[in-house]
Amino acid sequence: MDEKKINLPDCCISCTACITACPVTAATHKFRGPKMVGPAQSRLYFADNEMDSTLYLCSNCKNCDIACPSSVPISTMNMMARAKYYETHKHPQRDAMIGHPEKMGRLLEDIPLGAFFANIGASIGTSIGMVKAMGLADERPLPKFASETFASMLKRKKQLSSDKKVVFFPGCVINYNEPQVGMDFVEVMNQNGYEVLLEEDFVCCGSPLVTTGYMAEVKINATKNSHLIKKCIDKGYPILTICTSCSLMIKQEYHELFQDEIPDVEENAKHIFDASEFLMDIAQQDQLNTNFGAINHKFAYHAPCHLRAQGIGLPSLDLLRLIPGLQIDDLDAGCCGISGNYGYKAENYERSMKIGENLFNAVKESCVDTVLTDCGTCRNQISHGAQVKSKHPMTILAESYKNS
Amino acid sequence: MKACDVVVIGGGISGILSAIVAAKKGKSVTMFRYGYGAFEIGGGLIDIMAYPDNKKESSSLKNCIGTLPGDHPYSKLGLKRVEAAVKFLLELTKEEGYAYQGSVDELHWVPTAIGTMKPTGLYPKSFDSQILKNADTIYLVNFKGLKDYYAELTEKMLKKTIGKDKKYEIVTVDPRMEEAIGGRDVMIMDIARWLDKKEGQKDCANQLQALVKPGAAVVFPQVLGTVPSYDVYDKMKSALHCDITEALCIPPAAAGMRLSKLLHNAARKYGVRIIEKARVKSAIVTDDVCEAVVVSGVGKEHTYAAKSFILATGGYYSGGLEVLDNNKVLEPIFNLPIKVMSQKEYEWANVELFSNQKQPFALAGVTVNHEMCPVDENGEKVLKNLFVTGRNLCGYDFCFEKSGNGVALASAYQAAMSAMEV
Repeated sequence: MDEKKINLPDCCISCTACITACPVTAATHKFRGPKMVGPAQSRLYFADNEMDSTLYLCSNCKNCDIACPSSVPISTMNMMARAKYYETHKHPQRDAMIGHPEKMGRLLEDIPLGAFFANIGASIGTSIGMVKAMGLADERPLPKFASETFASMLKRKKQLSSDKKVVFFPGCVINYNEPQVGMDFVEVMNQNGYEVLLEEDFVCCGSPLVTTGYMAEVKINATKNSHLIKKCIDKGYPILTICTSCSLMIKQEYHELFQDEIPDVEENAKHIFDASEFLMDIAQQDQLNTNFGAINHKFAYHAPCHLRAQGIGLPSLDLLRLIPGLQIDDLDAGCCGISGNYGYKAENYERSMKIGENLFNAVKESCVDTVLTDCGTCRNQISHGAQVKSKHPMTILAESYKNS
Repeated sequence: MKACDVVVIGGGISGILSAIVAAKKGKSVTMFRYGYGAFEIGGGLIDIMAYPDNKKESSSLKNCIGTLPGDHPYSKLGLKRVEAAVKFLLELTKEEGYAYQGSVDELHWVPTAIGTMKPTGLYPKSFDSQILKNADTIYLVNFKGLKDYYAELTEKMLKKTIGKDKKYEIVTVDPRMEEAIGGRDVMIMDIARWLDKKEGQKDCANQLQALVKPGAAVVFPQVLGTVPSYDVYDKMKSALHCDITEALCIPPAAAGMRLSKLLHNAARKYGVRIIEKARVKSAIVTDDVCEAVVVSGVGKEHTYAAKSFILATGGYYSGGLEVLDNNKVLEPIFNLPIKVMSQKEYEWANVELFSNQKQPFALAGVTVNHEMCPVDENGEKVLKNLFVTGRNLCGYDFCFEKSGNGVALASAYQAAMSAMEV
């Protein structure tokens, strides 16, 4: 594990690489930029406990961390400062909603036809101005809830039974909004001889809570998840996710935020994988099922920032390139602008679209009808901003196995 | 484990250049990058050599290469190899639509924000002090709200360097960045991003047309776009009917961002697999061959095997070299032998910041042979399939000599050539 320098802002050598990398800095001159808001401001907390007045603009996309040659976890410094602020200040009303996608999902799960009515409610809410009044962007569709959760779908599935087992951390987007993507993942793992187990007591990884400043709740979730993850690892099961924000959170940010306060976070991280990272690892040992059926289609790939921050390259892109007939362009056009719940806030909508402009243009230039990307909110943003379909790479891998 | 042809450790200018050289020849290349390198600090110019010795007299590389000490990277490489590397870069930048010019034969002088002239080797055509010498009238463009650039200072010093006999005039453009009030200081980068967009270019050209008379020379701070293209330069030139030049400014440097984008575009085009935020921690070595390197990403380690390896991790600032407490300098991945100038730490630094002596600490680094393969004190290869580039190398003070990117380019080119022969 790379040494984290969370309390050492002086490791910042002020090289300004983060400023050139920051998509929010590029989109607005109001933002003082990662160097100033993160390490520079944190040196002043002894004198002044107020957060930088432009900190609210940080999207926690982590491009500053990717650019930093000195391992300063700039974005996490920002999020800790934001949490500190909310210890003594009131949250806007909508934060309760967008910080807690899981609460919403669980609530609807218990109501017959809950998802159906929630989706209708959201569109009515948009048309009568409720959404805007709550402080949410009404220009973009809110994520739709699926009629059945992933956990419930998995129970109905006749899975391969195998000695080789992995435990899936589905995360809120897969469990409540896009369960079919989770099922595609299960299919891909089954094709590789792995049985997928679900630990139903897992809670939200905490990523949306970090960005809205509910740090006490993040700690509760991190403690619970870390304990459950440890139990799975003790049984010899690796933990896999297909959401890059979840994997970054449970692998890296738990460590950055709570390394001395929650047991096992560092050891756990060694056994937590992005699913494509795991599959590329077994490919290295010639154990990947490469019986891929042809998919004669051209796609574009967008690398989520939270994947790029993990130091594992772009394993989904490497996997997709193994599929016969499939053409894929790496768009490499930077942040999509949504950054989890950032782009759903009313005041961030325009900025979020401006940040994504480069990417939307790159999608248009590539002349594809579908963009593949590992992150759920990136998929929503790309579909909204570039008017194309967006899918998880796992869906394409599952389809390719079906074609074989 | 599956091995690729070449693994490059480091994503600064020498790392990415060596990756492109090998990938362009059809090799499978994986490059690890931790942080962004010094592109935005370096300013986008390729300084090859300007001040070879302590006399502080400028000289092109061609004129001085014979007089350099034996352990200088250029002495190891020889002029022909440096020329081949320069040719590669000139062709690459041309292919990518942002052609550099220059050579090892002579120095090219570019204007700076403080009105002095700085020698360089390879450069985008938008940096040219010659146009100032040829002009009767020189306009200095200022941008409203821009910190870090003082046209008055540039004017004052230009009168000394270029001459008082010319007419100087400061013209101010409003980039309409009221949003920055109470926010961030407007930087060179912000103006350059404004000029990346068609609306910004049009607005700027319109404002200047009202202030600038045709036939003059116009000095811009380094703001003519952040993407590798002469689009903004050409548009301004034709709108104003003047010769124009950019002046080097303090970071973040727009021309450095252009070079960075150019090289990353080329790397992607030639199929270099770039793994970001990946710090190589150690190597797996059998006898005198490196089998694989171990990367610690978040949480866990991944091992990457290759036929050959290129070390481009840089110097003290980027962790390529570390100074230990016991008066030793360490190369932390392979623990390669390091040549230091003195065993006594108090002799490592020359306390005069602007002295006419090279800094001993700057000369410390890895010793290599002409292939850029690391060697021990007897000249024996330490690892047969490892090659070293850029600031990892011993024997030169890039800051004093103004030779940083030139050594990076030439050593990267040679390291890639050597790596392909393994």
